[in-house]
Amino acid sequence: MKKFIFLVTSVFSLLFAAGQNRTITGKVTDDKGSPLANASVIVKGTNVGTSTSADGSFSLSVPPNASTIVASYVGLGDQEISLTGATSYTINLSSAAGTMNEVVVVAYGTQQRRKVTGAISKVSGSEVENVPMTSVDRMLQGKVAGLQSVSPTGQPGSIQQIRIRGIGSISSSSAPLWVIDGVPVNSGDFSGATNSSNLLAGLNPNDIESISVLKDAASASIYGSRAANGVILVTTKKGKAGKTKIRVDGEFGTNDIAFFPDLAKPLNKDEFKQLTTEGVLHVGGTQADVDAILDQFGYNTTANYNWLDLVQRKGQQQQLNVSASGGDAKTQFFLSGGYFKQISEIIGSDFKRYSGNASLRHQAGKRLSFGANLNLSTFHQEGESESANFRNPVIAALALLPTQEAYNADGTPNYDPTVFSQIYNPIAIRQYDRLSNQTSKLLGSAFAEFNILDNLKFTSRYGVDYSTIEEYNYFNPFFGDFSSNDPSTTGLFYTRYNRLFNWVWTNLADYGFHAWQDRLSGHVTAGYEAQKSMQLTEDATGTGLPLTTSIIYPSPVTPQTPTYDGSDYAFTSLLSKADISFLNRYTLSGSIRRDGSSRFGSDNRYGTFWSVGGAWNVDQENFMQNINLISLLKLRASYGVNGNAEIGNYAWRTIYSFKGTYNGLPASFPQTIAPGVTTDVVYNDNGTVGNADLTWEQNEPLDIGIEVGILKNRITVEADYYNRKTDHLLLAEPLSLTSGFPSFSNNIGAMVNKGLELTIDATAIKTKDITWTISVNGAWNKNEVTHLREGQTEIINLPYIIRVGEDVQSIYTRLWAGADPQTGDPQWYKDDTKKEKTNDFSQVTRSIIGSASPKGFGGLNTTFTYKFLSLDAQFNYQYGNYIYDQWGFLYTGDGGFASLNHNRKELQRWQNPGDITDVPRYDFFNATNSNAVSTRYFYKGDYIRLRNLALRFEMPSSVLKRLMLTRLSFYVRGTNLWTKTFDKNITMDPEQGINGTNDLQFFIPKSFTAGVNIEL
Amino acid sequence: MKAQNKSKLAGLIVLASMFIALSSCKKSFLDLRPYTSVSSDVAITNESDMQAALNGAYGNMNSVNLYGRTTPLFGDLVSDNVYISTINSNRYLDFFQINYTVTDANGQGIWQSAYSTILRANNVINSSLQGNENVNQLRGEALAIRGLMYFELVKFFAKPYAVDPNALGVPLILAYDPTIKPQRNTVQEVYAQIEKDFTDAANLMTQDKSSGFFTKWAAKALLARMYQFKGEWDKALTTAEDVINNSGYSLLGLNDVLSFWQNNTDRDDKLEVLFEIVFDATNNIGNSSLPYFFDQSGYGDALAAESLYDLYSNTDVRKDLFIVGSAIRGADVKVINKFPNTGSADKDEMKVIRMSEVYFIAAEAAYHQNDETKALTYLNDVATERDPGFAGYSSAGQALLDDILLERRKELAFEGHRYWDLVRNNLDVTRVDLANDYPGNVPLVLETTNFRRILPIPQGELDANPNIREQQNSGY
Repeated sequence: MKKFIFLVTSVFSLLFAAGQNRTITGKVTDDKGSPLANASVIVKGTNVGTSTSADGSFSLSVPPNASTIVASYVGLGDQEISLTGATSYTINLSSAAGTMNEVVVVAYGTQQRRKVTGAISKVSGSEVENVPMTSVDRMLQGKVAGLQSVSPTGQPGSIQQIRIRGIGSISSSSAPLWVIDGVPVNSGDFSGATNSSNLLAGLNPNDIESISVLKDAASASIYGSRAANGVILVTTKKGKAGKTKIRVDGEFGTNDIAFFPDLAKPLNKDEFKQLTTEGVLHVGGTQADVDAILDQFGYNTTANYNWLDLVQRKGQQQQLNVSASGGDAKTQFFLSGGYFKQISEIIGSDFKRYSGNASLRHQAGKRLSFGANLNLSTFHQEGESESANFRNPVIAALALLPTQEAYNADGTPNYDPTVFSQIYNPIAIRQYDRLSNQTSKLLGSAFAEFNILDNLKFTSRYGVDYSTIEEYNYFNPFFGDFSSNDPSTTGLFYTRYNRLFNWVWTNLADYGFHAWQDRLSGHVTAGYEAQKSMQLTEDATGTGLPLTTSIIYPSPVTPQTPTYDGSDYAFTSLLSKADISFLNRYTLSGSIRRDGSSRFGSDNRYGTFWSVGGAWNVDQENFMQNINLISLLKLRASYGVNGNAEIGNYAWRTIYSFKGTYNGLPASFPQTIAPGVTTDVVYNDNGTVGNADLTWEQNEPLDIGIEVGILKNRITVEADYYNRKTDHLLLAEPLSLTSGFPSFSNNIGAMVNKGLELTIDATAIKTKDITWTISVNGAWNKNEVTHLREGQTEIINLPYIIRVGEDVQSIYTRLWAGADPQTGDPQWYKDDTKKEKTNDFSQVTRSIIGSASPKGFGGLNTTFTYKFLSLDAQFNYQYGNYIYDQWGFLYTGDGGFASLNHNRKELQRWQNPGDITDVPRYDFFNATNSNAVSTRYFYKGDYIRLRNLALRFEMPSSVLKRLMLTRLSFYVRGTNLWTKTFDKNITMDPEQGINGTNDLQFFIPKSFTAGVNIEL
Repeated sequence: MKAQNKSKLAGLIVLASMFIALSSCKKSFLDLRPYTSVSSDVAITNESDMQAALNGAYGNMNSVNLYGRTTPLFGDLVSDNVYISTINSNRYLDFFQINYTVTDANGQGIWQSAYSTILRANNVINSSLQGNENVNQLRGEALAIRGLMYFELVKFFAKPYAVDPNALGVPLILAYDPTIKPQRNTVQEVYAQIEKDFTDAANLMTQDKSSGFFTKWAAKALLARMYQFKGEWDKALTTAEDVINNSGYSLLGLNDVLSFWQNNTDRDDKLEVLFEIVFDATNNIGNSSLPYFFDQSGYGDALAAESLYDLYSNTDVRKDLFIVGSAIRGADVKVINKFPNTGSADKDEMKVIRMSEVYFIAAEAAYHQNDETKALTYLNDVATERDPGFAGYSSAGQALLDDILLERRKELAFEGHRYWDLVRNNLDVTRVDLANDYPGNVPLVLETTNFRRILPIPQGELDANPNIREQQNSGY
């Protein structure tokens, strides 16, 4: 059927390509009079238009009744020209015309900013070019008000967590929908065997033309059941008519740890010995016991290592991007190739990406155009599993004793099991084991646009988002968890292949109209979209490996049964949006979408989502024309309903799994909960008890915004108030465990996110030689859980609690009161009145002490340019949250885990009566519960970080001419150079994942890079 | 103008054909089914489905929370057979230190895994299939599994029957009902259900199967164990003797002891083991297993108590089930080697009930029935088959009972029985000479009055089930 429609489209386009119109010509220039290539010129209210050629000239056949043409250029805005009898026009597009004429990418199209009724933030491609980060989501940090972007780990190529306008879900995903060139893509982490891996890391940020962040109902609801957590539209670079441009960008540099406080570093040999001695004596041991134990711990050897140093190395950073673009009025192309490499400062953690992008567009006659974008990439990621596990070199380095001999006499890593009995030598693991992930991605679409009438356009786009994730684990046969004395079972080799094939077919009809001498104009878009994503997973395992590590794919003595699984979802949608503007002052918009999805329970399969919005460009009113101070004033508001469909592909079904065997026979069982999933997290592809009513989570966002420009827009302010009511939140209703099920998923919760967003852009200085711009943004969100299931007021998921009336990430723990000055015993406050201390653990109650969500966060960007030099700085900040040292119970465990090393904070322990300290007595195999979770392991998460500092030199045009170049610039850049924290006891980097829990994953890097940009 | 009309027409045709094409999209486009499961309502519709569902119940018992590790380990660790080395992975320290609380994950694990096994068994028991020998056998096996799970639950979470039969037991769930929020039944009621399940199971089962599945005789042997826990000695004796005399299963002889423990597959030869949980190459729990917890190439955290090791004479064949010395934990420590197949793909099976125990039950029951001669006979049937240098016990009165418990301790060590022998006899746990150099922090006595003699109802259950909140075991 698809082929048929394309055929019909093509045939009709050929038949009706000719028209009987008059022809006008002209030229489009910028405010300096330089010609603008590829500016668009259209007949107002229609889709009849063309692009300017390299010299800025255009020729356009206009219908006899046309009265106005509109010229526009991305980034410069547009201008309307009334047609007279003349046949030639010169159109001057100036940036001073104001940001309001700028054209922005919106859902299913583009729109003049003046007519936008929703809250859309734009990030231009140049802001994400040549940044030493593996994926574009990491670069959005601090750039968009209300968009929180944090890294739970510094592993290159790993996931980034993004929340727009707060956390919108309790147990489903709160991540936004990514739409790349019109294709809603699979994003997130699909790795299963190795590291966290980010599918978006396959997209080279240097191939991005612009990013639009859709934050409210008017802008996002057209994405229906997937819009609730915001939508990020990415548009990749396209060719522009004119002289062929060739561009080369290259950089290289180093990586190091951004921030790791001394208190968190391991004890040295003598310190550990001292603590152990104290600890054994405290629990009634004798000096002889101490000696025996230290002997067992290896203190009779001469070894003395700082393991944290041993697992580090000099990190490297490198990227090279080459592109060519150009074309003529009919055909435009863009081609690029990219190489990116990040070698982390932690041993064995690397990322390499090769990417290519091709885009072609051709205008065949007046009414038909077609084209394709193709983005191909492959990345290779290497690194230890970071999960809470002693294979993680960071976790191991903090736990190994300085006396454990790291190397053999010949310099090879030591893996003697009598020395590394509990935790393997991370250096040996690095040398003998391999964990890697090769992800390859094809992201592409082909489209045809057919102007059926001058003002009626039909577009059909077929997009594909195809990824394969090949993971490879090799556990050596000599030592470690998978080695054994039996040659048939020693070592383990494991591969996992994951394929995601996601296609989307979108058909849109777009009708533009205008009336009353253009005083009234508008657009209606209607269409149909179908999408299906199919995932296949294959696992193969074998043990009994040959006693060599040089075979990549060993032939195992004992192959284990390979397993296969799949997970699919599909959407079908009818969608429509419309806007109508009057006198350029008043715009009303509306959208509606009906989504059906395989994810929704059989009793609730279709849902309708809608929005309404309005904008009033006050500055266009007659009464404003004499107020010179205010150059821009726009008010807008929107309201609507959208949804969150990330509820698990099969979660609503009641199913019996056949994924098991017993005694060589097939076994089946009611799927209770996916392995490794805790009862409070119901994001579970495999279903639980099932629920035929299970459906999307519903979000009702209200947004009121104001945009003000003063002093000819030298200062612009954009402020938004939003109130996002979310209900039908999926929650695990805990079931009595006696039923055999821990919980089932149900649409029962509700919460509200309210907040303010503010962005101020100012040009502080603008002279011939000096330009200084400052841009500040901030967002203040308040989350409140308003409903859980009937009769339930809280869900405890220690150390967090979800309680009605409180923030969804509230921390619920015991209040620590430090060491008893007389005995060194741990003390807690009995309750949050803090009136009474106790050392009886059973008397201590928990209370809410704060939230893991920040009260406020944002960024500050400033650029200072003097002649050929420019200095660019970006700061990020966050405050009002608490972060949790999840490993404190061990590394500051007061003698719990006595055979493992502790951190330097433990040195602050109580030693003598009268000591006032936060750290209690060190007891060998501590049985005082002092290391149970309490406020002692929570820290203030406030920080300011210098995210980016770059100094750039632009070669002046006089020199460029001699070199026959369009541009030549050099830069040096530092990323995460400086971090300011506000809690002196902090034991970790303050930048943690959304839930603020430090899992000792790899460090966020500090990078120094130097680079060059050349344009021919 | 003509061209324009034409193009309008063309546009309409395109639009119309597009919408016709799209709206004809099949409804099945949105009906996507999972790849590795079926809808629950069609999961058990024939005998082979029933067998698969029953296997799912068996397979759940190899959980780390049940026979995989926790339940057998508890019996030896919270008593005097096993201790945790100073070099350890921090597993089960709260068991060892007798310091567990309502949030203890291992305790909740037992509760949760036992009840999810019961769910699986209930689905088989209550399936609509009726009638023939196969169906009866499968239903009988499921009943036996359910009885076994309630037996474990009532041991861990309720006062011993001998102490207070009217104390709170555990909730009895006999049918699929995800919404149930039950209260606790009494210990007596739970025991009545166990008796009924084992009895019904024994009556329904008629087929011979390998030791990896339940048979009539395994159910009867467990029934005898249950009477022993209850102190119904007459029934314990007759049931145990029924198994000894009529089952066709033979007692493990001296010459077979070592090969018996080296064997890693289920048996068809009716030697010794009546029922065991199979851990084969495909379905095992790898590093989470109990044997790996003993193995010095594995975690190796748990070592045998010196005082236990010293009980075996030098001629006792069971002394060969230990290795003296560990490269990591010292040359003198006693390493448990009763389950030596951690390095093999096919792992050790975990014994649930075997003939030696049935003989001990008969001996103990005969003793309480005042037939000391018979008691000595059954006791010596086992004891003399382990130690060629041992002529047999000849004690009487309390000393005879002590000898029975002593021989049980030696024979059934590391299979999870020791603690329950003390508990059902209402004796203190007294730890003597666990290891020569063990530093403090470990209680040496667990008195009968200590509230930690039984586990708390786990926090997860209290949170989800308001009806049980007021029924927590005292002390927690």
